[in-house]
Amino acid sequence: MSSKRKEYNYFNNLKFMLREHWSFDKSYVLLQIGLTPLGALTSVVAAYLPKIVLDCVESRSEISDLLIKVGVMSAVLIVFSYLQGVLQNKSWTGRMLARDILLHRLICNKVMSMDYNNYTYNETRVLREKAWNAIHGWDGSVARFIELNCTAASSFFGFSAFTAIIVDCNPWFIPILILCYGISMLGWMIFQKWKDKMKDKVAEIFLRLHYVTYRSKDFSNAKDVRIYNMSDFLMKKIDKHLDDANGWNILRNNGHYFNCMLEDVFKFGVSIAAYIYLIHLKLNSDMTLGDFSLYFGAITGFGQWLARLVDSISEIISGAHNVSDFRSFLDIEDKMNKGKGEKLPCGNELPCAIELKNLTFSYDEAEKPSVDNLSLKINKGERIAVVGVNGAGKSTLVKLICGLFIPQDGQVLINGVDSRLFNRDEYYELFSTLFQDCSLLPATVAKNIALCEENKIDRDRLRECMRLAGILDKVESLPQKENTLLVREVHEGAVAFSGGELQRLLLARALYKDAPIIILDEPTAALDPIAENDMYLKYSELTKDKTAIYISHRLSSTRFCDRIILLDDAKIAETGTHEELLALGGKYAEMFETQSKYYREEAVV
Amino acid sequence: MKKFFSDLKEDFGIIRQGLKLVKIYLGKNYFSLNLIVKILRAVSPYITIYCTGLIITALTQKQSFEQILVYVLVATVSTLIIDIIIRTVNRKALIMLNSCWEKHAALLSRKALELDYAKAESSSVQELRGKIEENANNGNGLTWVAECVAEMIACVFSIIVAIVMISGMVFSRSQTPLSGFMAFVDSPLFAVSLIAFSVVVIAVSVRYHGLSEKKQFNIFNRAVKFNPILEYYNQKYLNENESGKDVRIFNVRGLINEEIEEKIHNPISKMRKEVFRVWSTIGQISTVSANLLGGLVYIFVGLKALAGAFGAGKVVEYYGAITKLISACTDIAGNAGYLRANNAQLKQEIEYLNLVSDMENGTRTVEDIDPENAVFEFHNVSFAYPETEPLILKNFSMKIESGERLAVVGMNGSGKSTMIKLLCRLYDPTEGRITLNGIDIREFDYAEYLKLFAIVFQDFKLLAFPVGENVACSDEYDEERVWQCLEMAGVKDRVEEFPKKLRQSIYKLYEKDGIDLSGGEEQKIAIARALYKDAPFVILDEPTAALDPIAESEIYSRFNDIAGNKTTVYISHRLSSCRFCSRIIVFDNGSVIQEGTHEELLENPNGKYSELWNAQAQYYAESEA
Repeated sequence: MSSKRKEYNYFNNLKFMLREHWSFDKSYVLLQIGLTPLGALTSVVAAYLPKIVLDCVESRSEISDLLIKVGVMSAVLIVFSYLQGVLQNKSWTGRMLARDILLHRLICNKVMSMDYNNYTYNETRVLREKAWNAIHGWDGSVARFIELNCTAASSFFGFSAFTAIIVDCNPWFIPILILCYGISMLGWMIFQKWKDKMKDKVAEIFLRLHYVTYRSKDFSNAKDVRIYNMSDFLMKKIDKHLDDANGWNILRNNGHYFNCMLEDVFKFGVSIAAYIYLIHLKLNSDMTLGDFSLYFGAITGFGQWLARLVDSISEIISGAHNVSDFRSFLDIEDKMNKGKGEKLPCGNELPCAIELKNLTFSYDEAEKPSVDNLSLKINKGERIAVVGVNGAGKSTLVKLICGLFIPQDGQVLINGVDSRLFNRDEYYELFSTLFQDCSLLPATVAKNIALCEENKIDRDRLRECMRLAGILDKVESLPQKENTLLVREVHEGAVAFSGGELQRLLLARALYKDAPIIILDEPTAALDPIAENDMYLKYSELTKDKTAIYISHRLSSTRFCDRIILLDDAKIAETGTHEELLALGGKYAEMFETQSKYYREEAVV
Repeated sequence: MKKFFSDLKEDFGIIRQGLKLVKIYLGKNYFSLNLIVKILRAVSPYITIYCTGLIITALTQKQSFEQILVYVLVATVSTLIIDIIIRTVNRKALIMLNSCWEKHAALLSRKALELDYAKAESSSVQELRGKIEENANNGNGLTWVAECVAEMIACVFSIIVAIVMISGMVFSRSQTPLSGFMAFVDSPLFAVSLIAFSVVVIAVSVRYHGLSEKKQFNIFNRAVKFNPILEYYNQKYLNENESGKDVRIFNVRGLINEEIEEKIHNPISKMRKEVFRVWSTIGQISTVSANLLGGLVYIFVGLKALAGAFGAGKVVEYYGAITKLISACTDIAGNAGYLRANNAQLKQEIEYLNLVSDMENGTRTVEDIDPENAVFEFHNVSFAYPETEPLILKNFSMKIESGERLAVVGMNGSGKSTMIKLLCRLYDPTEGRITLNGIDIREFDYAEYLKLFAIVFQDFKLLAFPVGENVACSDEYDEERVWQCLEMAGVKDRVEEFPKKLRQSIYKLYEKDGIDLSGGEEQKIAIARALYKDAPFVILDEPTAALDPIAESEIYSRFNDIAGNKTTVYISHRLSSCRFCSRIIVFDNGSVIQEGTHEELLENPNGKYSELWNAQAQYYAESEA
C-alpha cells in the first residue's frame, strides 16, 4: 500500500461531490446555483452607478432625473446585496455542516469499515491525515469544491460582462489584459503545483506535531509525565516540530509573496495603460465623463474579475487535489470478502470446529513470521488453553483466527469452510473476544458493554452479564448505575474504573455478545486472586456450548481447559492436557514449575 | 454610567493582556508589522481617489495631456510603491500569523504539563481548555485582538484623511444664487442633515452588528462540549489499534455512528443553524445600510454638483472620500464590537494560562533526606477523588520503612493504587497527613520530592518515540546505562533485534517505521524506565501482569538487582511476589487489615491473606503431590 494520492479527473470529482452533497443537503446544491449570477449582477450595477451620476452632472440634467436613476439603482443594489448576504451566509452554514458532518461521517465510516490490517498501517494514517487536512485546510478544502465551481462560473459571468464593456470601448484591450494576467496566473499555478508536491512532507510534519501536542495534554499520560519529569523533553519535541512547521510556512509564504509582487507590477502596468488610453480618447473625442469612469472601472476591474476567475480556477485545481486526497483515503482497497459470503454455521452446526492449516503470518516489517506454518484442529465445543512466552505468537494467532489479519499462507477453516469464503463482517459475528488492551467508548457503561445502539440494548441480558463478570455490584453502586458515563477526560463526572474493574467490564462485553466462539486473552491479569479463582470456577458455565480459546500466563487456568497448546517461536511446541504435559517434562512443565515454586511452602527465594 | 466605565476599564485591561499574549504567540513585532500594513492599506486608496478627482477635473477643464499624465503617474507609481511595501511587511506578519495556532496548541499543552495532576484532571480545567480550543478552531480569541486593535487605529487614520479631504465640501456653495429646493441643497444644512442621517444609520448597524457577535459568541460557547469528544474519537478511539479490534469484532459501527451523531453532529448542526439565524436576520443590516448610504451620498454629491457647488472631478473625489469615511466609521465601531465579544474568549484564554496549581508546594529540598534512613508514614488518611463521594481510603495508617521490600495485596478496588497516588502527591489526602521522616510531605518542593520515586503504574503509557528516549525520558541519554536497564528488565535481546536499536521508535503513530510491541514488552520497557531513573523509592504496581511465567520469574529473580538497597513497594495480584518481600500489607476496603511476613500471615487461616493466597496457590500446590 502507498500513501500516494490517486488521481481522479475533474469531472469524476465533481460528480462525486455533487452526489455526496445532494444526498446530504439538496438545498445547499440549489443554493450554489442560485448564488452564481448574483455576484456578477451586483457588480455590474455598481459599475454603472458612478457613470450615471457623472453623466447627470456633466449634462446638467434635471434633479428628478438624477434622483430617480440613482434611487432605482441603489434600491436594486440594496436588494441584491441583501440577498447575496443571506444566501452566502446560508451557503457558509451549509458548507460548514457538510464539512463537520457529511465529510466527517464519510471518514469515520471508512475508518470503521476498512480491513483491520489496513487500519493498522502507517500509510493509512498518513492518508487519513491528508484527508483530514484536505477537509480542514482553508484553501480549496473539499467542502468548498462545489462552491468553488460556482464561484468560477460567477466570476466568468462578471468577467464576460466587463469584457463586453471593454469591447465596447476598444477590443484590443482584451488580449493585452489577458496576456498580462496570464503570466501572473502561470506563476500561481507553478506555486500551487509546488505546494501540492510538498503535501506529503507537510502531512508528516503535522502528524508528528499533533501527536506530541495531543499526548502532552492527554490525561492518560499525565502520571508518567509527572513522575519522570518529562515535560521539558516533550516541550523540546514540540518546539522542534513547530520549527519544522514554521520552516514550511516560511517557504510557502515566500512563494506567495513573490506571486503577489508579480501581480502588483502587472496591475500597475494595466492601470497606467488604461489611464493613458482613456485620457487620450476623452481629450480627442466626445466620450462622456461617465463613459470615462465606466471604462476605466471596467479595465482595472477586469483584472479583478480575471484574477477572481483565475483564482477560482486554481482553487478548483487545488480543490480537486484535495478531493482526490480525500477520496484516496475513502478508496483504500480492502482485501477481505465484503460481498456475499457463505452462510454462517447455526443451529446444530454449533458450536463450531476450527481448523488451522499451515497458517503463516508475519507483520510487514518483521522478517521472522509471528505464526509459522501452524496447523491445529479445535473440536466442536472444545476448550483450548494457549500458553507460551511473550512474543511466541499467541495474540497474533487469535487475531488470525478471528479474521482481523489475513494469513500470508494457509487457511482457517470453520466447520470445514475456509474463513475467507464468509463475508468479513458476518464472520466476526462468530466471535466474542476479550483482548489484553482495552479501549473505552466515551459513552455509558451499558453502551460500552452492549456495544449497540441504545434502543437495542437488552437490559436483562446486560444485568446478567454484569453479574457473571462480577461488576454488577460496582455498577449498581454508581449514582446513575449502568447509565453512568465513562472516560473522564471527555465527560464531566464520568466514572474512572480501576484496572480490575475494566477487565470485568471487558468480560461482561464478551459475554454479552454471546457468540459461538469465545476468545479470552489474559482475562484475569488485573483481577485479584479471589476474583480470578471465581472466574476459573465459573469458566465452564461461561463457555457452555461454545468453542473457547483461553490465553494466559497464569498456568493455573489451564486446568479448566480440555487441551493445552504451548506455542514457542511461532510454532506449536507441545499439546496435551495439563497432566500429559507435566509428564512430558518439556517447556510447559518448566513454566509450570517456575510459576508454582513460589506458591509452595518450602520455596527458596 | 459607573458600570459602563468599570466595564470599559475591564475591557481595556483584558485587551492589554491580550496584546501581551499576541507577543508570545505571534511574535514580538507582529502587532507593529500588522499595524503598518493596516494603516498603509487604509490610507493608500485616498491617493487614488484624490488623483482620480484631479484627473477628471483636468479632463473637464481640457488641460494638456502632459499635465494629466503627471497626475496619472503620481497615482499609479505611489500605489505600486505602497503595495510593495505592504506586501513586504505583510510577508513577515503572515509567517507569524500562520504558525500561531500551532504555537497556541503547544502552549495549551505546556500548561497542561505544568499543572498539578489533580487540577489538570479536573473537569472544569478540561472544559476551559476545550472552550479555548473550540474558539481557536473558529479563529477567535487570540488573533482577533491584534487584528481589531490595529484595524481600529488604521480606521482613525482613514477618518482623519477623509475629513481633511471633504472639509471643503460642507461649506462649498454655488457661485450663483439659487432658489427653492436647490437653495436648500446648496446650504450647509443639507450637508449636516446628511451627516446626521449617516450617524443614525451607522449607529444602528453597529449596534446590531455587536449584538450578532455577542449572540454568536454565546452560541459557540454553549456548543463547545462536543470538542473533547470529537478529539477523543479522532485521536484515540478511531485511531488506535486496540479500539480498531473492538470496532470490528463487536461491530460497534452502529453505536459509534449513533454516538457521534448525538454528541457531535447534532450539536454542531444546532450551533451552525443558530449562528445562521443570527446573521441572516440582524447581521445583514450593515450590508443594507452601507448600500443605502452609498446611494444617498451619490444623490447628495450629485445634487450639490448640479447646484453648481463643484465640478465632476470633485464628485468623484467627495464620493470616494465619504464612502471611505463611512466604512471607516462602521469598521471602527464594528471592530470595537468584535473586540468586546472577543474579550470574553480572551478572558478564558488568560484564565487558563494563569491557572496555578492548588497544590501546596513547600520549599524543602530532599537533599538532607538520607534514603537509607527514610520513613514514610500515613497518619489517619482519608481520601475521596475530587468531585466524587465515596471514600477510597478510610482512616488509613501505615508505615514504609527505608530499605524494606513491601508487598501490598488486596482485592480490586481496595485502594492500593490510590495509596500510591497519594504517596507521590498526585493527589493530596482529603483528611490526615503523610510524613517523610516526620515532615509533612507537603512541605517539600514538589519537583524535588518527585525525584525520590520511580514508579511503574498499572496503566503506564509509553510514547511513540525511540526506545532509548522512552527509557530515559529525554532525548539525551547514556546509551550504556539504557542498555543495562533494558537488560535488567529482560528486554535487551528484543531491542537488539530492532534495526535501529535504541533509536527505533515504537508504535506507528509518530514514525513510519515504528515497531509495535506486545503488552509484555511494553511492561518491560516501563520497568527499564523506572530503573533508569535510579530513584531511592521504587514502586511497582502490577509490573508483571502481562508477562509470561518465565519472564515473571526472571523479574522476581532479578528483583534483588532491581531493588538493590532501595525501598520497594510491590503491588500485585500474583501473591507469589509476596515471597521475596520482607513485609506484606493486606488492604481491604480502604484500610489495612493485616500485616506481617508471609509466614506470619498464613498462620491465621481465617485471615484475608490466607483466603487470597489459597485462592491462587491451590492450583499449584496440587502438583506437589
